[in-house]
Amino acid sequence: MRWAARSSRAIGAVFALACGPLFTLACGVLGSDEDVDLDHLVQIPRGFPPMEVPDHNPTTPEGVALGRQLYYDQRLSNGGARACADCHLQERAFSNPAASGVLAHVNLAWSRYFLWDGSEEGTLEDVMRFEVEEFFQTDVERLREPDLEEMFQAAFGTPEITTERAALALAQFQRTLVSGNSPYDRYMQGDRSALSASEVRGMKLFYSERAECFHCHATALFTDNLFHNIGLDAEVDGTGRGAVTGRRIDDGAYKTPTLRNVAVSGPYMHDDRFATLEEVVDFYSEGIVDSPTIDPLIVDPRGGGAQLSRAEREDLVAFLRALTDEGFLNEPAFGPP
Amino acid sequence: MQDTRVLGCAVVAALGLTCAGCGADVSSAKDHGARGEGGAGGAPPGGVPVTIQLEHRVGGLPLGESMVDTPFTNAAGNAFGVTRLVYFLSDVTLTPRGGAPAVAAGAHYVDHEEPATREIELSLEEGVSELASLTFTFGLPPEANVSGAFVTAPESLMEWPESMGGGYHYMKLEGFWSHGDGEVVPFKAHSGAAGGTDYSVAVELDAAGLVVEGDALHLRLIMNVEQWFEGPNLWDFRERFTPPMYGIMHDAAAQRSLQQNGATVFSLEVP
Ligand code: HEC
Ligand code: HEC
Ligand SMILES: [Cu+2]
Repeated sequence: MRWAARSSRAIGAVFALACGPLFTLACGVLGSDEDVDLDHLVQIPRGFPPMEVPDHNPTTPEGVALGRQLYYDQRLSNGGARACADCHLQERAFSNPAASGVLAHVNLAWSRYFLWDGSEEGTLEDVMRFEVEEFFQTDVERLREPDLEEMFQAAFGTPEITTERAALALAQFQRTLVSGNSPYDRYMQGDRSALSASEVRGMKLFYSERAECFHCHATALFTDNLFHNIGLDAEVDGTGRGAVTGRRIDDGAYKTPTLRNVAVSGPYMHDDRFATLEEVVDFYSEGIVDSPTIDPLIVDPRGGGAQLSRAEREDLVAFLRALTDEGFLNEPAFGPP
Repeated sequence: MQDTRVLGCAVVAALGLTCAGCGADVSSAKDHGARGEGGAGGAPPGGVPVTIQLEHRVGGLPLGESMVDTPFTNAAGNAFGVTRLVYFLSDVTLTPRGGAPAVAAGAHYVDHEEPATREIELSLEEGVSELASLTFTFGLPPEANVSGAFVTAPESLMEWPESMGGGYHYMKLEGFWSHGDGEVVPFKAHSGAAGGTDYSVAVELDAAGLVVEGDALHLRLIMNVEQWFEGPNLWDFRERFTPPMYGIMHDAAAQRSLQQNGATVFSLEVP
């Protein structure tokens, strides 16, 4: 390691009104007052930040329904026969074991930087505009069919079909993909039987300086939504966040992924280099590679990592598995329409 | 724009504590970034606006904007460079000689890399001519240091795990230092209520002799970063930031020592 280390940071939200320190239902932050029955569309789990919704795209049942339809609809892709859901599989937390580097779709409503290097920045509307217009190069002519026209009419008041409207609807659907009901959450809400003894030991380790996971996989979201070089490679020049910002200190830094549902979202890391959680924990334990921009929060980069015992590693993996939210993975409203 | 956003976050954080409920009028609160009650918000219009600019120095030199490549050799002979500096100041209070104190009530989050967070605004009563003191709590006072108080980033990212006492970090001061054999290793000077014990620092800076002239007042509040490790307790990084953790969150003695050193870390200047 040399005298240069800094992962870039981002102040999270553009700002939302608070509704009290702990609340369970969406409030005025989520959409405008006229929105119908928002509480049933999106429930904000305990301990989560308020969800910010742009005024120009309130979350409505019709908008969410259209977004869900488009997410699963191959007509969205230009000429091709693929849908978002071909790569983003619900039972895998909307990641995919086969396609490479697929990022999960879990609680993205609270993200401000998208893709591993954060090259898409802004709101869900912004990233969805990118997905539709650039990645899928959607041809609106293919969408001009009666069933979709009806849904656009219901969502936006007129049957007009544009890529902008498609992006808005996809953003609305994405905002409903909230996961906050894992055994860990039930434990935190007082159900002491929700975690096993091993999982509780793993949790204590997770929240210790010895393992150091909590500083980056932080808060109820299990991510700080920032970028870090965690010591995967010795050569980091011009890679990751650094390729976007041009700042040397961002080289080798990638977006911190949430750990919610991480047990089903493998393989892991931006390049899928680890197949299992055991491999990931072995990496943090003894596979760390020092480099000029490694984050100081990585434990003992010079010694190769946290040097956890076999039992500790098992406990840590057990805890990561306790972040799986079966309700989220099986929620019919998130599946094919 | 930037200002509004950052101050806005502070407002949310503060509202979290008082549970003001939905629909708070952000724009009315953004001028002072504080809980309304008793804060600078109460200052009459036409008061004297005070801007306190926070500056971070290491060995007398400003911490670089990107904090890269600036190793400094401390009194114990450890060469160190800072890569991250974020912290809370609470209830910043400017007391004039003979007049009502101006208070920025609540917690103010500072990130060295976000210039907008390095400014605190207050308002002094009209007619005040001489200052007496600037006081604040470094970190969070115990009554405000309660888990769940901050729900939005970046303040929420200061969380201090329940298993270590809960609440929030007062400060994350991180970087690298030379171990002596040419290798550079991390240090993580994170302070907070370790084990539930309050280690916040009551800072009082003498402002006697400073005079209010004209229709605005500018002050510079300086954190002399190396002082966390120098006085009265001299830190040798070799003893404090030891492998494998290089951290002190679990170390009550280190927290107490930082608290004691905290009294002489800050200084006040008129630019
Ligand atoms: C061919 C497979 C594939 C398809 C089809 C696909 N994605 Fe992705 N998606 C990926 C991969 C791979 C990434 C990560 C890419 C990166 O970071 O560079 C990703 C990332 C994302 C992200 C960013 C997540 C984050 O955490 O930053 C969003 C949002 C997203 N996809 C939405 C969509 C939408 C909406 C569609 C349909 C319009 C779609 N994707 C279709 C593979 C796919
Ligand atoms: C310095 C910040 C930091 C620390 C400390 C940290 N992580 Fe990570 N974690 C990240 C980042 C950033 C990534 C993505 C890195 C990449 O792909 O290049 C990541 C990736 C992961 C992944 C893979 C997730 C996925 O979807 O691919 C797992 C699992 C994980 N971390 C678990 C842990 C555990 C367990 C610990 C503690 C032993 C830990 N992390 C400590 C920042 C951190
Ligand atoms: Cu810490």
